[in-house]
Amino acid sequence: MTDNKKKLTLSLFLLIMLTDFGESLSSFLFKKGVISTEIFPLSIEHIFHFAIVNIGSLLIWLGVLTYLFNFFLWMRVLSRLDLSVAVPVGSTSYIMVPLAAFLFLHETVTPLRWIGIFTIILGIYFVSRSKTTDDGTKVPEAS
Amino acid sequence: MIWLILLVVLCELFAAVSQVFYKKVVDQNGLHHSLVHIKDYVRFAVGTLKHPLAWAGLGTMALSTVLWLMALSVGDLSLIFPLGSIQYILVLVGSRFFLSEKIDSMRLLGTILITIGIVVISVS
Repeated sequence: MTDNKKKLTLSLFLLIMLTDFGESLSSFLFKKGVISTEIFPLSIEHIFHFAIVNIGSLLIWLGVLTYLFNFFLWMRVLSRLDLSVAVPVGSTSYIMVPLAAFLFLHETVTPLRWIGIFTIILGIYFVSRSKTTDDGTKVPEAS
Repeated sequence: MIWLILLVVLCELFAAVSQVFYKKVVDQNGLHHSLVHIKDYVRFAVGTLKHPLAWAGLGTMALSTVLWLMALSVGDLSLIFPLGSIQYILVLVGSRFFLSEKIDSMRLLGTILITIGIVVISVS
């Protein structure tokens, strides 16, 4: 751990946003790809049937691949940042959806929701400015 | 009602535990080097999958997802979504006590603001 400062760089920030997007994408693929939803009431036969039918879905497999790829991206993020930095910064997904709806779909955003959005942005800013856990390189101490 | 709250809290607890496992994997494997060649990426991926805690993490994450879907299918979304934001607090606690990360006041304040922001967005 010599030249790896655990600092939130722009590329890491974008990588985190990419993992958020990948997570949504895999959920979307799973949802679209499900052929049979008949799993209830839960029983061995139902689960077995559910698995057998859905295993033939191409979209499900694409979803699995996306999830796995995303998992490695996230591990890469974690290898460069404190967990208590990476996870909060991942909350950008909560603001991207309303912001995109506002910018591209011209949906109205209620004042309360704007407050929520700015609170999250402020929170992310604070987290990104916090001192990193000592990795032997930086973190100047004040006292 | 109380069961739903417990369900969501349990779900977020599993999610937080899973994140702590993931972080332990990369820390213990020392996977923090720059990835330059394809070979480095392969080594990174293989090293990750070889670590038992990676599988423990994936397992707890799967469990968390199942609980989340269960909660969504039975409960009130306007309660579940705001409540879900406690994950950020749980991860902070986990990072502090199980990963010995340094949590200064900036990070604490920021995390609390994010949690509040998510609650506000979810109820608005």
